[in-house]
Amino acid sequence: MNPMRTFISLALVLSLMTSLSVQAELSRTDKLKAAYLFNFTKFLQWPDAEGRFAKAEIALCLDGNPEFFDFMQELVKGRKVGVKSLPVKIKPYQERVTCDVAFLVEEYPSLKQSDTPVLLVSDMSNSSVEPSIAFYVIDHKLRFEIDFDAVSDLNLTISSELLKLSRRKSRE
Amino acid sequence: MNKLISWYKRISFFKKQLLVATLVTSITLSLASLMLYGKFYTDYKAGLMSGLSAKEALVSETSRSALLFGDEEAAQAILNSLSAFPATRYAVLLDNAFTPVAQFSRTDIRVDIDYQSLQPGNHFLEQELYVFNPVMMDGEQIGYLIISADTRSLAEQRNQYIWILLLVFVLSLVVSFFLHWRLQYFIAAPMNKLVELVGYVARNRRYNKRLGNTGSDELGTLVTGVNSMLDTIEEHEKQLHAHSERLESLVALRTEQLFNRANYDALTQLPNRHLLVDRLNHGIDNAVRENSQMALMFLDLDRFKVINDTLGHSVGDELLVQVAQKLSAVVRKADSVCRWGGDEFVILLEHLHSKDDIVPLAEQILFSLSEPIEISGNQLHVSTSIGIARFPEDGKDSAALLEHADISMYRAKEQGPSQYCFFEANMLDGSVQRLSLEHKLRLALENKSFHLVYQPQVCADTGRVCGIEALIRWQDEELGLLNPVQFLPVAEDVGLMHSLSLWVLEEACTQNASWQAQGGQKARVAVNLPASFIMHPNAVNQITDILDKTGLAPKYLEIEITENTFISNTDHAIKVLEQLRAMKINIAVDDFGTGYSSMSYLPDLPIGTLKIDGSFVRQLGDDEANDGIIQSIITLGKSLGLSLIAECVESKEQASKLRDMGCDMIQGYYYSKPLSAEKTQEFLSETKVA
Repeated sequence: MNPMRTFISLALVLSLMTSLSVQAELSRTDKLKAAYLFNFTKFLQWPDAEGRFAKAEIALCLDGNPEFFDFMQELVKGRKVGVKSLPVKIKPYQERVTCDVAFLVEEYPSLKQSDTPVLLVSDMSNSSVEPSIAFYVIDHKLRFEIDFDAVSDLNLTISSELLKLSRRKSRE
Repeated sequence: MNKLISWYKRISFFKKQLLVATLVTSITLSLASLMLYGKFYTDYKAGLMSGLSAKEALVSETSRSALLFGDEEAAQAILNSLSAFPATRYAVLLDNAFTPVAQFSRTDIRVDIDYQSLQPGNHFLEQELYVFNPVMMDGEQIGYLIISADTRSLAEQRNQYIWILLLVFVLSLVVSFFLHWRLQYFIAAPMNKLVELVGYVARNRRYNKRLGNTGSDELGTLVTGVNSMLDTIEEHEKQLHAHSERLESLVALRTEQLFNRANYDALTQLPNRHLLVDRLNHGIDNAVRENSQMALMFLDLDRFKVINDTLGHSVGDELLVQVAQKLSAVVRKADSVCRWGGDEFVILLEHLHSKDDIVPLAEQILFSLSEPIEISGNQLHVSTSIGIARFPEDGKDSAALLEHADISMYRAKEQGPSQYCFFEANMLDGSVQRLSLEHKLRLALENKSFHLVYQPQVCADTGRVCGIEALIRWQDEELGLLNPVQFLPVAEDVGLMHSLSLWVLEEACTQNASWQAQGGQKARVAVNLPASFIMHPNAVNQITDILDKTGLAPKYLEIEITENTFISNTDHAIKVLEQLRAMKINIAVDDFGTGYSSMSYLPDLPIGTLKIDGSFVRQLGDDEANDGIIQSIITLGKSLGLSLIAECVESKEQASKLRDMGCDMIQGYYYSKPLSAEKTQEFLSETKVA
């Protein structure tokens, strides 16, 4: 690994986590994933709804590792994203929990929590899930792949900036 | 600088105006160009900066996802897109810790700024542009982006602006100059006409041209003013011209008058001696050319001085005028009659063939003037003496002719009144004699070279001496003894008569006083005094002074005057004579009977004696008429209570006859010739005194 690139990546992560206190147990990749997850919310736009259906927050659901959960919670604390400046709420991925984005590390069957579509994010290696965005590592760098059709099915608007950085997945 | 000022002063007003207008325009254009340049420059600079700023914003916007996800390739690709903009020098995308995530730079361009100390914003440093701003995402700073661009385009643009503005400047200046020039042509056209008019007036001194009306502006007012001024000047010029013409005619008149005064005699209107000499010279030239003859007549009126002295200058002047008229009437048209001066006239006769042509004219003149002339009630008989000199025989030039004619005139005068005489060469001797005589006369008077002789006057009845007439004689060493008739006219002519009379008076009185003092018999001494002496303002005083000086009692002095003394200014003569009479001086009228004057005034005259003229006495007994005149004179004198004396008595018969006629006194060679003083004293002592 290019030492310079390593240094840049670390610096990027560290810059995002200047205020994080929980960090000891997480790997650098997890931390990057946590940062990517948060950053994804900045480039996603859910369809407009009115009245009580209007979105008041972006729910990011997580499973598995409680350190990761805590790390995420620390990461999003006090921060707002998107055009509508919505707060990001970290939730456990459970039944009846409404999620906008769900990051699943374990192999779960597809959950049906609500009518609202959920953007699934997972590692490429997790074959039990058909994520819309999948992380993968190439040349020691964390990258992601976007299933454009899945995202389109979710009726989400995804920023071209995000698409520009991702690898496009083909269903075939 | 001086040359520039001198050039500026030389050029025309319109060129000056054009120059100033162009200068002002160029200054204005320069200012406008400078302002435009400044505006263009700052605008372009601001445009560059804002363009760069926009690029920075765009890059910042597009690179934030790459920054968020640490995608260096994506970030680099975005920065590389700046290579499409030639001005871009370099761009660096930094994370929050100022660590470069991606960097783009041109070849040979290095990041030349310390962005850690750089404030966010736009910067223009050392001719380079810098835009340095944080990259934001959802209100969070996620890094920094700095872009630097060069200002080559600014310099190029600036040069382009300069060229454009220069072109605009030059074009505007040319257009402005052309417009000013054309505009000035319209303004200058009437001005030029005005200048042309003023030049015309100045050159020709003529004020007849006017300019047409050019409008109601200042120029129109000026043209109207100039026209009005020219009207005034023209009017004034006309008046001046008229005045000048009047002056010129006056000058011409005065010139003519001056010419006349210089060339003509004011009294007779005849040419004067100046014009005569001109004509004479001209006549001589003509005569030489035509081979003809000419003659000069020199006329002098006989006895004019007596008439002038006795009848006054006004009568004398009138006489001269009438003589001039008579002379002019007699001569031919081609001849010139001139007044030479005093009573002298000169007649120039031209185109003559012989001497015979002259004689009839000379005789006609003498005849014409012999006729009596009546002036102021006086019948005046004048005559003239004419001297004639001919060209070329008697003189080759005017001076010689005049001199010779003058000499001839004197010779004629010596022959008696109304004579003419042609010049002869031997006359020059006589002329020299006269000049010599004048000179000697003056010397004689100064040296007292005269002496008196005395002729006794004897009482007819008693034979006693009753008086002595003093007669002047002049003994000259060269000329011998001279009679008064030889030198008294000369003395009268040269103005020595008064002095001579005084000398005679004083000498006679002194002599008589001397005789009386020596115990001789007391007799009255008679002195002849000319009319001019009696008319002299100081006559009485001078006689009194001499009597006082010599101590002779006035009763022993008798003054003999001629009838002419009374002809002019009778009142004054009578007044003088009365004063003398009052002093007991006896007055005798000499040469009585020869004058032309009337005898009617005799009773009023303060005289004591009438002296019968010798011409009557000499013919006594020969002619009854003559004897009758003598008798009449004696009877007249007696009737007036006057004593009578006869002169030039040379025989006993004459003496007897006169005594029988009643004449009181006899004077003449019968008793005694004029004697010297010594002989007179002896005569007196031998003869008793009455």
